[in-house]
Amino acid sequence: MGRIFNIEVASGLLVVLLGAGGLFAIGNLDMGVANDMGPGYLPRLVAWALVGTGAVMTALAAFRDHPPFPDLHWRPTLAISAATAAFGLMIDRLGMVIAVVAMTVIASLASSISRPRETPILAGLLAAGAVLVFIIGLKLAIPIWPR
Amino acid sequence: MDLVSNIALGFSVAITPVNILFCFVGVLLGTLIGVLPGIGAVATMSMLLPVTFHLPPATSLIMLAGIYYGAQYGGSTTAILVKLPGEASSVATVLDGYAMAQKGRAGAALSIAALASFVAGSLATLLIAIAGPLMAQLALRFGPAEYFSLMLLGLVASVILASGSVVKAIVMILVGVYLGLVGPDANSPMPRLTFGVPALAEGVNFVALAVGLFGISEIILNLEGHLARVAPVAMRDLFPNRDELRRSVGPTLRGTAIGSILGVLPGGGALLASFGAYAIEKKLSSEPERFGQGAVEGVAAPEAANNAGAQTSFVPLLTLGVPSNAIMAVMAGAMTIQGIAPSPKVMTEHATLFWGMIASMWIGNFLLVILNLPLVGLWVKLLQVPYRLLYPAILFFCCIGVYSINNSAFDVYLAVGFGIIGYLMIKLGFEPTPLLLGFILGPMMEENLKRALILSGGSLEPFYQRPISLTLLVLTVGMFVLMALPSFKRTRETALNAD
Repeated sequence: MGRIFNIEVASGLLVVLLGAGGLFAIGNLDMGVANDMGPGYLPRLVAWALVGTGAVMTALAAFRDHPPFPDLHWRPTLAISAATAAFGLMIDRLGMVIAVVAMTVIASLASSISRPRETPILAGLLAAGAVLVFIIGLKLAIPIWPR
Repeated sequence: MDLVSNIALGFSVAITPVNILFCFVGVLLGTLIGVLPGIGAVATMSMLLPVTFHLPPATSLIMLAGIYYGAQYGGSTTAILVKLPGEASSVATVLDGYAMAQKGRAGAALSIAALASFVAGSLATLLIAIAGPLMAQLALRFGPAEYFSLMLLGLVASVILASGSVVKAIVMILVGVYLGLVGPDANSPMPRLTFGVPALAEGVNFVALAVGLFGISEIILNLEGHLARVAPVAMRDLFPNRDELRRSVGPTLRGTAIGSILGVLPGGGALLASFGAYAIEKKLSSEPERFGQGAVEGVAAPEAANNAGAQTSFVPLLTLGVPSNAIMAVMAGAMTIQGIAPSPKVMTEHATLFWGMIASMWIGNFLLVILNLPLVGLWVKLLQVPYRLLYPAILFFCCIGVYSINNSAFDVYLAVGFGIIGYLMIKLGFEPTPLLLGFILGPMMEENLKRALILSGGSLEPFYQRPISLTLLVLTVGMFVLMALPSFKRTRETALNAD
């Protein structure tokens, strides 16, 4: 299996997956006919095109030599995603300061280039800057502190 | 004369203190992100879309446009001094710009780059002022069939420009088109493809998509490797000598011409322009062996071309309402936010906006020369800011940009999702740029296709019987044929993967 699951096979499978996801989202939307297209016509066309292209890509790639599946780096992926999601989760109720500090701290876990001693200072500066520029300056309707 | 009065109208808008200020902010930010690796114009402009809510339409578009062409200047600075193209469109400049710097002509290369950009920017501004109204005339003859064919041509052209596999670029367009179809449907009261999520009823948020794909995934990519830091080349004086100036005149003018033409084409813009101009100079030169060894022509031509191309790529958006590349897709988003639908009517119904923006481009280019030449040392210092301090700040701008557009936490989660998918796809060799274009053009194409088919009673005749539509479709087919040619394939690969 190791040899067959190369980067191109993975690409093809991903495309099939995206197309299948697309078909799933369409459900039973009305197709209509070509000269009076329903809302489901073009999405279905596009999703099937994805499934078809992906299948051909996979099939062709499985019999050729391609570079192996690339190394995905989980640490930055997880930390950056979590930091962003934490911001979204907190900003409404806990306010700008806590959301920005949490985001910075979680983001600093993304890579070994971060220095733990700098993180609190950076978080403080970012939070202060965020409040000054976006809430006081641009008057965005975002609470500063928890409400 | 019409042209004079139009330009006068433009300057009367662009020269107000507020607009000059935001033009300055735009080109300053543009230079900044052009210098800094790891953040591009698409992500920056998308993040700033929410801020433009609070500005008048002309002011916000002036600022956003400034970011785009400002990034071309900043990108060339790092291309010359540290061999790092800050923007993709500066890749061609690296070849001879860095070679010149190593020979002790860094200052001259920077000056030539800035002057060539300025000349190109000024001429392109004039060209837009002349060509815009002509294009708008042409646009009056556009029906739904022509629009559909034009957009199809744009999408296919963007495939050529995407680096990597053609098939993967087409896949990205299809994914973009699909995502663009999520949400409202013109012909039915029910939102579609939403998985029952109410927040998707209005469609996928453009800012969340762009920031996820170009901002968040970029941060993850940068953190997995080590952003190479090269010590900048020392620089003595900024003045090019007489020989360098003389050699630059022709390439600058030719670069401007090539850039202006390639910029207007669907799928075009700064990137294609810079490679095209570089290749042509090398062909025309009597001593092509000098290229790559520090030929000043190899700096002047691509720099003139990328700036001219950056500016003329506004023409299809402003005169036909069709964005020709991902950056223009962001501009279209900005116009929509301001309640201005991109269409041929922009020029007549929002004349002050149109001409004000064009005039501001000239002012912006002037500001850029001032910003870039005397202050070049400052920009180089910026390169010393370590990425570990930079990326949390960039991530913060991603977050606040996405959140504040609708004050919606859901949009932030959406951006996380697109960031992860984007990262995975980039790792697998899919380039995200065509996706964004598909996203913007998809729904417009669907609407025009449906309209054309209803008008013709379901027949495809209008697509090949109306001359403009037929021409566009023939060009589209031509592009496909071109892509299949082995010699073109090779050229495309070398051009897009040039180091």
